[in-house]
Amino acid sequence: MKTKPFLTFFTAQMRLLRSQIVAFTVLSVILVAGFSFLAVKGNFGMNEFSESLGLIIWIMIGLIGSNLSAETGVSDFSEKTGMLILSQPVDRRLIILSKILACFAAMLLPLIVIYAAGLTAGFLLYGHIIFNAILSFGISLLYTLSFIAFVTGIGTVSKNKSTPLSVGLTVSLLAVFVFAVFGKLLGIEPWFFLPYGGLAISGIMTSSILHINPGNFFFYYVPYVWEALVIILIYLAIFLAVSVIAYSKRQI
Amino acid sequence: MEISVKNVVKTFDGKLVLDSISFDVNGTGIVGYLGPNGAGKTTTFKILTNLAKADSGEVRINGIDTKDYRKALLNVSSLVGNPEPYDDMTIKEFLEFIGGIRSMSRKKVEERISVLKKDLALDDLNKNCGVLSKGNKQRVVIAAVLLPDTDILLLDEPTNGLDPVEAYDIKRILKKIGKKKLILLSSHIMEEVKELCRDIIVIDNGRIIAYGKTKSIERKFGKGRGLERAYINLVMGKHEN
Repeated sequence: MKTKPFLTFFTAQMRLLRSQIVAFTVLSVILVAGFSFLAVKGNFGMNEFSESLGLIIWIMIGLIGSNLSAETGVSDFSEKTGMLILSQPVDRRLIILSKILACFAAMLLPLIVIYAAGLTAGFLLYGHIIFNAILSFGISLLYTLSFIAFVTGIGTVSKNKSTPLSVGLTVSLLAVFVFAVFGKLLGIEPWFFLPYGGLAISGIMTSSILHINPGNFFFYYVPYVWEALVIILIYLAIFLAVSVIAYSKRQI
Repeated sequence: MEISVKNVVKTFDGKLVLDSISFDVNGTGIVGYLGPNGAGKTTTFKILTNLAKADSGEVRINGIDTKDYRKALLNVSSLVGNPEPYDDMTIKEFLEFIGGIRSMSRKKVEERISVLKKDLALDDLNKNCGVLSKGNKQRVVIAAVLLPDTDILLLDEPTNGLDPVEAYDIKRILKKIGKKKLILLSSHIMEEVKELCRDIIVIDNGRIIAYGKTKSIERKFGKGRGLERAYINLVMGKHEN
């Protein structure tokens, strides 16, 4: 792999995303601050606080990931600059992989900020470090990469960025209804669904949630860590392969 | 310096766009690639630059099959379609980006930018590309194409959208470059073709209908009424081959 073109694409992608990085980082801080204020007012316990923080992180990964990576797989084919970029003597696999990694890197700042703000708020409110915070952060990193690959993969086979954007947002926002329909109503664990894997981010931050929660309509099933990792890694492998193959073969 | 196209066939959505075209161009100088809209000019350029794949046939650049595009395109720089620079980058950032893609050293990129800034009268290099006029964006794109200083240039309507003064500047530069390099130039402007091109290839309905010295094509098909008339006679089917 040639380092210079790889770094060039990586840096350029980061540069193109810079305003979104700042916006989403600020939004993350506001969300955690607002949520912490609600926790004080609503007199949440430590477990509720941790679980809700995990859910905020989980949904923010979906929202930010959809926005940052919606263009990654498709813009070179739908916008005019692509004609200049893709006619260069550079391996297309290298271009798409550098762009995916740049999106991942771009998401690190809001993700770190949201964890740091959440952990600080938790410590200030309850005097304890949130349970399994480091493991949750690790899973969130993997989930982020997998989600970006998923949206990018959709982008590489789409005509314009609205398709990957709407698929990413829909999957993130309607995930809880999928959980409810398959879990509570049909009694089927939604192991086939990427956001279900991401649910472990929240699930492991609290000691009160079990694998099956009969009283919970939306989160009837919560994945084990190993289950979450398998789902996330399978999605990552499939959609990285889709991204690389489709981006390499696609014609303008 | 050589471009060789042999029996290339290309269909898009079941429509035959290139019908077994073949041509060879070599040496230095500018070769015009002419034809009406939809004739297959841009498709040929896309196949030459790995933006599209031929259904069958063979394309070689300097003897290297374009299936190995990373090697074949090393000495080629191209302007296909009407690309634009990234709006969110400054002119300098965009040119450095292109230099980086092609693994050019920072020093070489700086040198080339300074030459091109002068030759193409580029705007303030720290200006964002998004705020540039269409003509200035086109200059930036041409600067990006010329930046790697390759031996072969593929230019699809490079003066498209430029005002006469801007077009004159580009033609002046192409004339200078054409003395040392091989340029395949697509254009609808016959005056431009006559002024710049040593040879011309005419394509219509996906087939090459004429290839030869500019003057001899003008003489043979224009019957004393100039290159434009020669071109019109050719594409209107009034030629005798």
